[in-house]
Amino acid sequence: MTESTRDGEPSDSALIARWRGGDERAATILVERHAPALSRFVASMGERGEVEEVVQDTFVRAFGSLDRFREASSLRTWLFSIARNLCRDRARSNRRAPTVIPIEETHALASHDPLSAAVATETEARLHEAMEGLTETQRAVFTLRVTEGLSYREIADVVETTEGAARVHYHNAVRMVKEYLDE
Amino acid sequence: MNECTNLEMRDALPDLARGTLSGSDLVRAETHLATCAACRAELALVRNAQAVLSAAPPVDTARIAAAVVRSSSIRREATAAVAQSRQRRASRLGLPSKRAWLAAASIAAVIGLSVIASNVTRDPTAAKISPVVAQTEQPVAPTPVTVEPTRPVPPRPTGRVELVMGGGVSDLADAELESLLQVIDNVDTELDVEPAVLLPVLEGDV
Repeated sequence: MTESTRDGEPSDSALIARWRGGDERAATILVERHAPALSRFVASMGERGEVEEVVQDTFVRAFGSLDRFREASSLRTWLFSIARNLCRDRARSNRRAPTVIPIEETHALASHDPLSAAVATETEARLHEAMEGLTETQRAVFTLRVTEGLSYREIADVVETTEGAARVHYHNAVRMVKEYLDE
Repeated sequence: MNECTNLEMRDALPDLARGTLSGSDLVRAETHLATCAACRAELALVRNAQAVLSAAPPVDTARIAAAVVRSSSIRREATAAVAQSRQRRASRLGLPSKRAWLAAASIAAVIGLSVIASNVTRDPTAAKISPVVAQTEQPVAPTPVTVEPTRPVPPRPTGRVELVMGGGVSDLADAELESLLQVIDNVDTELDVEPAVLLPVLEGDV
């Protein structure tokens, strides 16, 4: 078990051991470490207004079964896997299409130049529309590869497929997004 | 625009966009990009997607952590409560088994005592005939036969009609019967409520 990361912070495994030993502060550190990535992932999966709720449910579920977590995969991929399942459950129960993200809610390409800002928001909107055309699996794979930098092996664990299939899903997603943006 | 056929290079584009490529991998990617317009276009798309998708709504990590701690605490309490409930149920389940034991033993004792009582009044040879024997008050009349001499009919005991159940407790020796009654007494003392209806049986009032 690695006790600390390269930057001197305690590793996930060390924090899990501390949590199991009754250290509640370990939960706080783990949440602070993984919540932003989960938030990005959940948002890109179509959840918008209830992102925090889904992220919280993900952590509650994960910590609820942490005693059974054997660390066959990393905590990060396990959390993504739980979050993905929650998103799918919610999509099934809500029977609704992924929400179109209002342009004013995003800030990634914001600029002080009005013309640049308009172009940026237009690009954002187009990209989100392109993402909505992907299947749920393609969207998950694309987000995990592009935004989180997960390897195909890790992505395969999250979406419960093979490494090769994850790679195919990624390249299909890139092609579809590119085609949509080129229209 | 056509896609680049170098899948290995295209696989590396997200890492290049994130700045996590280094060493020879980085040099190779930059060399390839210098001559591949398709990969440059794809890299632009990946960078764009990274910028857009990185803009996730902020979440209150303190609130989430508190929820995790609270939820785990509730789960621990619930687990303890379930364990206590199971323990109580197990102890409750123990009582009916003792009662069932007492009921079965009492029935066996009643049957045994009735058999002993019936053995006192009947022919001692009858008990050896069959486990269940029906005895009638009227002896069977011999069938008249003209050719062959009639076989003598064994004498039947006269008396009241009774049903005798053999085996079970009646086959026990005195010492074994004493032992069984001792077990019944011991079970009886362990019961919370003493079944008054069985007391005459156990005290030999029948």
